[in-house]
Amino acid sequence: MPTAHAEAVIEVRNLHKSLGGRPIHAGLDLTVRRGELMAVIGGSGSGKTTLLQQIIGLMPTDTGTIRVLGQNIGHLEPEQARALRRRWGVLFQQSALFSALNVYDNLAFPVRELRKEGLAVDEDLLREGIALKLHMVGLAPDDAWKYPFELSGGMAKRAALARALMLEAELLFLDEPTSGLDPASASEFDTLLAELHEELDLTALMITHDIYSVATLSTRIAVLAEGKLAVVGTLEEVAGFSHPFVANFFRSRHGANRLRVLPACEAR
Amino acid sequence: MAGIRSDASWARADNSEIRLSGSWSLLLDAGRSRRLRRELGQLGSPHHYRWNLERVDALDSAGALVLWEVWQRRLPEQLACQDDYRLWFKRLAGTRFADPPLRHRLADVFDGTGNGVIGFMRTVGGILLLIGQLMVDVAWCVRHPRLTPWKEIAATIHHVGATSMLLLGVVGFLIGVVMAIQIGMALQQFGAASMIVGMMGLAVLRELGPVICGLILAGRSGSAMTAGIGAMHLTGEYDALRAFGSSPSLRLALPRVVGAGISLPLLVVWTDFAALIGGAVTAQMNLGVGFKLFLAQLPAQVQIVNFWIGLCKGALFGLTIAVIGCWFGMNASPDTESLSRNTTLSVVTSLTLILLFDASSGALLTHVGLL
Repeated sequence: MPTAHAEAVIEVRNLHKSLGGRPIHAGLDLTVRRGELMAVIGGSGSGKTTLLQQIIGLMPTDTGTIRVLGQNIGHLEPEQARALRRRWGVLFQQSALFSALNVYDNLAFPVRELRKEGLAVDEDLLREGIALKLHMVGLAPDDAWKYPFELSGGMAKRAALARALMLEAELLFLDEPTSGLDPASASEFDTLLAELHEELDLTALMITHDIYSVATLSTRIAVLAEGKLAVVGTLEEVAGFSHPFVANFFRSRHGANRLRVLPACEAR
Repeated sequence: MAGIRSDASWARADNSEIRLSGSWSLLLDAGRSRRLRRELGQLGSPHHYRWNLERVDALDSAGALVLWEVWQRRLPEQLACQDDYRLWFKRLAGTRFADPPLRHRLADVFDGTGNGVIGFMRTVGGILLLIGQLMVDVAWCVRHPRLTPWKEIAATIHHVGATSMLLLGVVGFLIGVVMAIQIGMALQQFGAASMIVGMMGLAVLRELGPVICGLILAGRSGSAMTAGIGAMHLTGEYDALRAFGSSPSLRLALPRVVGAGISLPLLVVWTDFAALIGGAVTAQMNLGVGFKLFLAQLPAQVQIVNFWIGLCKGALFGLTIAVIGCWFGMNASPDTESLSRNTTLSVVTSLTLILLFDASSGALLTHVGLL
């Protein structure tokens, strides 16, 4: 389990960002330490996805610094950026599997892309590696030959997770990992993520609406409101914090029912 | 996995133990993993050795795979190894690989041919059905004028018509200029420079105006229609539309077909105008046929029916482009490959049909308006 003094894997300092003249982030600070699974929650339009896109370098920041695995995202040479991207995996909200490729080729894609950097790819080993990753995310061996449109939502998420793990990422970004899944599939997927987080020593940043994911998966929770982090802490700390969004999120009937096991919520 | 190169190595100790050391993160180091697999594969009977992994700094799936292959896919009886490394082998033990579904070559040929024929028939049948459906939709709209998608029709007229005007104006003008120069040269040799008016007028009004419009619009708007409607399959909007009980042909195809059918004849007029202006300007400057003379001679030398033929052709091309564009969009599958394939097919089909219709109209109407 991570300690408070473990190395910071993601460090966001004083981040400002406006989109279309509307301020999204106003001086946001966030630190994710090695081994943590940090959940970022917040209302719709609070800038969760924008934050993620800036951290993974898909969107430039206005001001502020973002350091991931010790490197400043804003000042990277193309080669450094590619080397850094190899060390993290991203699970997108819509799975974002390449629809023209079958699952096998989707999983092979990040590995085959390495050829650009002059790294040899051993296709035999790749084949075994893909079988292993499919097994790890709970897909059947035959699923390798299916195309994304033949997969159910839960299977597509699993395949996308396997693709994110292909290069043995040490850092995983999860954008709404359970959105669009039925409760049973969602909770299975949560369990899978929790197992992999535990087994693979992953650090993860998860953006979510799903209170159940937050409760079962995260080691710490950050609440995004008014362009900043309103509070960061463990589930008990955050659930006890007095803030209108937190109150709505955790103490709505939907939330309270699911979290009845939690003493921090029960007390209220 | 800090670096790309790993420093995995192994050594044999007193003939009974294999000691592994270094970082066995081999995912990005295919060369080394291949070498290690070969070297360790030559050991003969790997299960007679004691395997010591205690000095291995890191192990990734590729490193574990190399060992797993060397061990002939089962754990050696004597293995000294950390628990989290052991986890890789446990996972590997549960892994199976399914070969890609086998295909028979000969059956494939028959399959391919059959599918091609069926696909072609389906396309032709589907397009005819869509045309029929559109007629039903038009009849419905006549009876329900308030529910007719006027706004979408107006939007199509804007996209297909108004925004193409600059492009078609420039292209039409340039073609007029080029034609006048080239025909004019030949005519001057016979001292018949003023014949330019009749020749240009006939060619532009009857042939070039509508064909240029059709070809450019097939590339510009037909492809946009296929891509636009096809992308709705990707985003699920197409299904949403149907789930609300709306007819895709009424909501998507009808406005585009009607809009294009209205826009194209108007664009033909505009292109005719630009090409004739280009011809007249060139005639004045190169051939000494005055601008005013050109315009005055035009109605005398070219029968007005040619203009109407051009207009009708324009309408026909517009309807063709829109029907083909919509059909290929509506029948795309929700993947990117099919979208690009259908867009290509849509443009190619439209172009072919436009030229086919043009040639048949030319053959059928030889007795109208030429003399």
